[in-house]
Amino acid sequence: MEPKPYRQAFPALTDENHIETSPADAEYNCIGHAADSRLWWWPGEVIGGNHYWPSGVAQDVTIEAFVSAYETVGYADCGQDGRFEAGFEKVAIYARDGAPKHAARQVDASYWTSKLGRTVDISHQLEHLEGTYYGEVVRYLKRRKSR
Amino acid sequence: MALPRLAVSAPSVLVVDDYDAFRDACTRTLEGAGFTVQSASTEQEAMQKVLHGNFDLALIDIMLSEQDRRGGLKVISELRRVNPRTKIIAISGSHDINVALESFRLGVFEFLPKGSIDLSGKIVVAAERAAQANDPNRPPNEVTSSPMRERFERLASAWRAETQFSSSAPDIFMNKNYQEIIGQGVAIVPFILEDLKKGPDHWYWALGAITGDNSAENAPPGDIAAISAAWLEWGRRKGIVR
Repeated sequence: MEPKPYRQAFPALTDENHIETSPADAEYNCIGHAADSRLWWWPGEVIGGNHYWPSGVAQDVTIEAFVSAYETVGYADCGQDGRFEAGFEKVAIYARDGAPKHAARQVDASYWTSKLGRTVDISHQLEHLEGTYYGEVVRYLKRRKSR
Repeated sequence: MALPRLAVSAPSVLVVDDYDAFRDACTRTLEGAGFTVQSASTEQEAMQKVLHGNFDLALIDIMLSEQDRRGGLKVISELRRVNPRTKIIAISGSHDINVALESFRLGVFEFLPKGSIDLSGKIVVAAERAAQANDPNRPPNEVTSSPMRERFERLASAWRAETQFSSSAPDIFMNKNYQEIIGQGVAIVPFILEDLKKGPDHWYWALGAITGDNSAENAPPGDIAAISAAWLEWGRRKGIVR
């Protein structure tokens, strides 16, 4: 059987280190998924429709603007601290050449959840999505888990 | 760049355009590629040639005069009646989607916007494909164009493959395949909407760029399903999709 295209794009993923958790869906993206939203989050003007971007946040594709976007839903910048902390959930921002490309949300001590563009959701470890497509994890944010 | 000459016996082409320079340039280009060309500059002259000629191909401008901006459609309709085997390539400088749609409904083989880059090259390629096509029984009212459908499917497939893992608007919308889809102009809109009927996707930028419309401006931001539904509703209102 042909490997799924995302396995070719992210070769560090193996059968043992990730699990697919949803079918492909073009309606929401990784930035929204990390914020627990089913909307397509992205800054900047669009022709023929509008993407979601929190009101009052700079319409820039910068790490600082993305940090500010997550702050609107209760996250706080925690720098390079991606460790699991009981009672908190975290978001990791990936960037390439200083431009955000992806975000993942922490699920538990071992796994993070990611929406891969217009395709599937997976649970995985952060380093396995680093590389050509998304660059490296550059920033973490955290918020207290709601009960 | 020298254009390749046809390997098959010289097919006859009728070129219809009221703009002398464009008509002469098309004639020279097609003759250079091995076609036998007759030309007409008015609807009346074209109708006479349609009645008395037996053309393998016709290259017809839709707007044949300022007074009748759709005269070419009448010539296409008459040509379909007189000789349904003639393959027709419509050309138009209009950005009115209904012009493209009506051309397809009349059964044109290809629709080329006049603002295209390398239009003369595209005309020769389309003419060669039309000359070599072997589908004389294609229903005249079918809302389709094989070359355009093939082009759309090829470009859409490449766009999806290259951008499927991206959330970034510039990566998705500035992709070269997506931009080439936009570059096809109004003739590609029916194929985009047909694709959108299969499920929500990021066609709103292309539809907005091509049509200048903003049908989804009231859809909730980031709600791709609602934005896609708004564009499909726009297509239904225009009679492009059911």
